[in-house]
Amino acid sequence: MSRAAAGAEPSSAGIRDVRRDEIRGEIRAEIHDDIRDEIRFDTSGSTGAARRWFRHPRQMEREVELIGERLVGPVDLVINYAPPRHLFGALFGQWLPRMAQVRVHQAWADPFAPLSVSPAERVLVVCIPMAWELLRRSWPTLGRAGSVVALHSSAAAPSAAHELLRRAAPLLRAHEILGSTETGGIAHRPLVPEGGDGGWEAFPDVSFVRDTGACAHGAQELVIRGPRLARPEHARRPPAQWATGDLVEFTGPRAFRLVGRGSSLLKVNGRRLHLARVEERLNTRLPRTDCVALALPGDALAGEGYAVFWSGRGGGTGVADIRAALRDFPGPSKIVELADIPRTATGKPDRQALLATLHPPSAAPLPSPPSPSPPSS
Amino acid sequence: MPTTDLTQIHARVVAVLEKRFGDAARALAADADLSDALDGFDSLAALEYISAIEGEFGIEVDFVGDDVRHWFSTVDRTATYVRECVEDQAA
Repeated sequence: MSRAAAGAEPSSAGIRDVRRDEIRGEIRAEIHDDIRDEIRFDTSGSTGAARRWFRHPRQMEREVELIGERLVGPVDLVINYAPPRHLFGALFGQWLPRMAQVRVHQAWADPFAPLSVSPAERVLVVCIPMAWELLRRSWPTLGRAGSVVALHSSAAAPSAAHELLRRAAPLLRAHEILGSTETGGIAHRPLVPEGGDGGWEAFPDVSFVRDTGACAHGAQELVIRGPRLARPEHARRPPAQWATGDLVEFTGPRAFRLVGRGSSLLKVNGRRLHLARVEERLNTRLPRTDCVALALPGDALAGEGYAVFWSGRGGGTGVADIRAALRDFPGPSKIVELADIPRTATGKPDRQALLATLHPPSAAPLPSPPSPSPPSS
Repeated sequence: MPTTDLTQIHARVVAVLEKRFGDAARALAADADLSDALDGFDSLAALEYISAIEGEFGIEVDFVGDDVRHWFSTVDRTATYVRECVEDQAA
């Protein structure tokens, strides 16, 4: 029954309230619809707890169109080595083939299966680092294509990529994309045979939040704004801006050089890890133990890893206690017990001395035998 | 000179796996199926494993001619495959 029919003429204030409620309801419905359609991606947090990020189909389509038009061009076949549970694989291994209505080979599911490429086909290969080794071996088949474009994301391109580009250009061209689950694609650069550290150019809908107080040529954290930022699980909409944790040096209004990670941030087996958090945890759980966590040099198999150096000072701590304290973190590759943690004159852990303990002199290769003396003349 | 001693090869194969899978690799039974026994040993991890074995022993695995899914499914089989490759190279 309407309020008018019940004899209660609504006041103008009441009408406004009803309208306001209707508007709120419409907004709620719209948000609900938006949320219902969203696509979920999981990342792991620095303490190991999974984080969920949601992207709206419009963001997915926008990213595919943007990168598709700018870097890829028309394709007939997509060969996808990136699992679609990750954004990169979903965008170019699922959404792009669907939007372009082209054939897709999900090579990530069985990377050893032979490729099938028809002569003159225009092929897009969605690459992770290991895919390049496979492409190199499959080139007799892939080389029959009319053109091959490779997109590479999320890690440094391996030497196999550069070797193949040297061999297969101009039939093969490749682009690196800098981005993350949280941000989508931020910037791109061509992947070139000679390698090197070329600059990145931002995608046109990405803008930078620059630190005006920072030195013009100094490194600063890359903070971006854009319409393709993901919505975190407990927020109603994506953040206005996102700090990537990457250190960059701006080389132009929309260009930068990547200097490195802005903190002790690692990716261990695909999980993010702040070494500072590792030390914080160890100091809290094992207050009588001196612990230092250091990143280890990169390894093709292990990816980014870290070591924990510790000195128990007779406190009864053991390796098992360290592992237990770090149970919900990605595990360290090495745990090294030392009599004392070597420190520099300023009291900081001596990184070089610590890393040197991983290769004790006894493990060093034997010296070469002396060269034969030159014949006396 | 590259070793053809199966025990030594076995130990180096385990060491390769340890880099990524830590203690879980050290505790592996030699005939355990890697994809069952190691959390995260999926098809892409298998690919990385083969590549790391190639680097460790200086061999090149024939992805087309050899049944890599079989030979790289356990530590024992991997070690046998590697020994044959090393012997072939030495011949």
